[in-house]
Amino acid sequence: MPEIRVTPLGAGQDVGRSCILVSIAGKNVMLDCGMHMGFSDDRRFPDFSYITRSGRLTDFLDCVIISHFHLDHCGALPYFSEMVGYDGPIYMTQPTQAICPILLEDYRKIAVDKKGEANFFTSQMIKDCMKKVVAVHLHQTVQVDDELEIKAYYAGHVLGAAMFQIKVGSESVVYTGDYNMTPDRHLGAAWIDKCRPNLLITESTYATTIRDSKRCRERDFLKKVHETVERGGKVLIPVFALGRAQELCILLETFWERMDLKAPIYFSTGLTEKANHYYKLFIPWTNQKIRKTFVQRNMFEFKHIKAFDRAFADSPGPMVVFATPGMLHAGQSLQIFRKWAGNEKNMGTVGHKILSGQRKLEMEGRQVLEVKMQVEYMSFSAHADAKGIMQLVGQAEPENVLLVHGEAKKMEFLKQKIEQEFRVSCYMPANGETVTLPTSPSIPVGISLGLLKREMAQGLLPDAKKPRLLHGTLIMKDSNFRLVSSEQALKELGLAEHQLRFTCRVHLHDTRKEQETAVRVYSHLKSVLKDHCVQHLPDGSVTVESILIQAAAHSEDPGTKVLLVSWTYQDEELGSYLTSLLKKGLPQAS
Amino acid sequence: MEPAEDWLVESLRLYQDFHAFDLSGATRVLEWIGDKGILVAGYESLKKNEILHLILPLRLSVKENQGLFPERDFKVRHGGFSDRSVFDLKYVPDTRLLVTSGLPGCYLQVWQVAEDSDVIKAVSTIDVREEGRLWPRVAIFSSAAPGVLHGARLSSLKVVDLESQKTTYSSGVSDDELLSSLQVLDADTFAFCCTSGHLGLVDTRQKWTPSENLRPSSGSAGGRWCAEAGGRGPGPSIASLGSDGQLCLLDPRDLCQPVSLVQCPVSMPSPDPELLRVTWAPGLDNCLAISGFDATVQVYDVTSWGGMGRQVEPLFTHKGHIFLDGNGMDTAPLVTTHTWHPCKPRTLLSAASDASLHVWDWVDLHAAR
Repeated sequence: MPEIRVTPLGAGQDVGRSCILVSIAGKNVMLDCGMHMGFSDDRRFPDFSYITRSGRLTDFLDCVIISHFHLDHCGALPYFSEMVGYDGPIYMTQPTQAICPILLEDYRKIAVDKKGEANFFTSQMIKDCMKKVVAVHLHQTVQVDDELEIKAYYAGHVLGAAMFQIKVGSESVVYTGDYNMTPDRHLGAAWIDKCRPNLLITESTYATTIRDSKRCRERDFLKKVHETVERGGKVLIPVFALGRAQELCILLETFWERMDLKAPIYFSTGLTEKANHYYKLFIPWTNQKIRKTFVQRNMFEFKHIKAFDRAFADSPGPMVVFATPGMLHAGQSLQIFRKWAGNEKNMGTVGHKILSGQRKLEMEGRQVLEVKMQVEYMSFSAHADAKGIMQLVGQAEPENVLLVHGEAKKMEFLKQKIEQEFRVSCYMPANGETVTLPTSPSIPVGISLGLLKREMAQGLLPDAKKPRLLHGTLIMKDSNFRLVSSEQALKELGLAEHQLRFTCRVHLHDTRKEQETAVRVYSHLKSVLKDHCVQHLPDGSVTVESILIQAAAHSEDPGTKVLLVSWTYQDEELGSYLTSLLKKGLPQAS
Repeated sequence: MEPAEDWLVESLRLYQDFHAFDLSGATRVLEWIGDKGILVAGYESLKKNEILHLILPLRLSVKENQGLFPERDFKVRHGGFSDRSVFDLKYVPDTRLLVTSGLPGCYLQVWQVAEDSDVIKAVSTIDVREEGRLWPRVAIFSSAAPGVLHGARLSSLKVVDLESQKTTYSSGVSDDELLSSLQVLDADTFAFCCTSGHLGLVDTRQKWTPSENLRPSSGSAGGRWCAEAGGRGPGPSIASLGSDGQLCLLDPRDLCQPVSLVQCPVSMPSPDPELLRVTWAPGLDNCLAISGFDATVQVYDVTSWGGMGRQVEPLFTHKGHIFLDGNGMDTAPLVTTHTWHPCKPRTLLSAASDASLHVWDWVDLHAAR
């Protein structure tokens, strides 16, 4: 029974790392290879032992696909390819290929150099891993091998994020990764065609939420920045170098213009260069608006936003600074943070420790910093919510839907909603649990023209709504299927043809001559067998399709006529039917 | 896009907090479960409507230090499907039950919110004798044995025990005036308001003898009315709203003498008077909100309103539903309902016909600083 099998990997029900194994028509594909950011031991990696039980990963897996550069989707990739061992192809989009190694290296530095963790991948491993990457373009069909092909679709969410279609013959699976159905200032919305996959796999982390509008998030951000600046305070915004920074800059620039604000806004130069570089490379991946802006000018040429100099951190008065890196661990952000943290007029948008409420931080050299400044957490990364998921399912029209990273008990309603709205089956496996989907793949068979023509010549034209029984021989050669006439097949095989013919005798009481009996038989069959071609041949015999009926006198009893009914084995069914019909006798002539 | 951007910048000054959501279907009900959850329900005909139990974003539940709670989204905690349109929905306090009223069909549907899963399931029905096109208003007497007050006309007004379905009280009158609102005030009293503006307070311990206002003579007031009791602070505690924007304030001790009758600045009579809503603020003195005329919700301070025929100005007008229209429709939507947050004094929720749901905390610009 052909089937598609899906197993989300990873220990426990925890959300936080994406890694899904898909088996389709004998091919094995791994979708994403994420790291769980919350753990600092082996629990952060997916449970690869599930696959390694089957032998070497390189032999077992046909390919690995990475949807985008977030660490919970690619963070475990170097560990997987260099420490566990995988040498096959790794597919991802170009922006992902460019950005992944940077984030992986950043994370490695923090984990090893700052936190002193062991059993972590090295810089060299990251480089070796990336050598196995094959970059793909949007909507480009990539042949992984003779049978397996993949295609990337735009997913929004972050630069370079893609949804992937995996296809073998007529069976296909679509994996969404993280996606977003509402366009924002710098990225478009996810889009897929009506590809009708057997299965659509989508994350359901946010499936039970209804998201606050983008506008309101931005409003909140502006409000907090404005309030701080009005008080004469300073705002520190650590961001990941790409995408969001651009978006927030556009927002602030517009706002500053409208409100005629004078406080300076600074952007760390490292950020500018990096972002510019990547945007130039990946302009086709960004929003229509950005593309227009970029063509007209350097996208970081803002009227109100200037390059930052470390000395500015000591300047009095209000200001806003965008700095790297996102999590305030090292670099410029940290330095500025230290300077400003003690003043409650200031505000920073930060990560983990402070978010969890810690007000005293231990810095290098055992220095303790008391955090008096206000802390805000702004989340701009967009994921699809319940509405978004429904939209995407409506676009792709899959036969089945599979949700990962949700708790089954908490999503019974969503499951019903999807099943009812789209008339599909919805699955929600836990990590380590395998879902098996039976499929009925269609096998295309070529039919020889000669055979078709012969069937057409057989008499009545086929009824469009009724299935018509056809006899032929199926030849399977080199993954090619052909349906030809038996004679043709025999010829190709160099075999002689044998005909099998059945003959049956039906005795009828009829005192008339055999010709008249034949006429009676003809009239009777003609009226009863309206769907068949009944003919009365010049030699007196009656044919029904290819079945021959001849009337003869009984050798001993002139009052009895013998009907000889003969047919080939292909017409066995009709032949038997005719025989039993005739045995019932003929209607009296009127 | 320009007016929308302008309004968004304006909103920094006008609102302390503002959240906008898109439901999968518009709702005409906003019913609280505790102070952290609300129920919404669809009202489209010829399709399956959803009944959702939504948990407010954490940000709105926490009184202080909001910065550390990034959660700005509603969580769909429970959901269920209704084959018919839902026009009224009431939660039965201290139970896991809901009662809905809608069309088609002459019955009230009772639902159960599951404990171990996220499903809202239909469990039983309460028969109602009404004509086909009328749907009864619903209110709940909460007690150890909850009672369901329902009716579409004064004549069919009754209280039914939820469990046994036995009628425990009925109006017993032949007056077939159409009802627009029903409200339970305490264990024994409820208020009713008819579409004509005729309203009254009923003590269920006695046979039908409501204290009522003077019935508006036919042809006067005109339009369609609804009412709500519950003002906080000194002053009249019953407000009655008419479809042409007239607002009448009454003291429950003397319904025959309205305290004031004012004209609210609405651009036109309500295009759908069934959507008229007037609500008293539970956390502010003498403050009420109205909606159902257009895409706005208007908040009024009724202190020192007196006399008849005055023109009044709202303390605040929520215009979010006009400007945050993401559907790109040409016509602004109609606000279908609104409600006040039970604890946060200036926070309201409003829903509109374009399926938007807003949660907003307005700034009182008039208040002395």
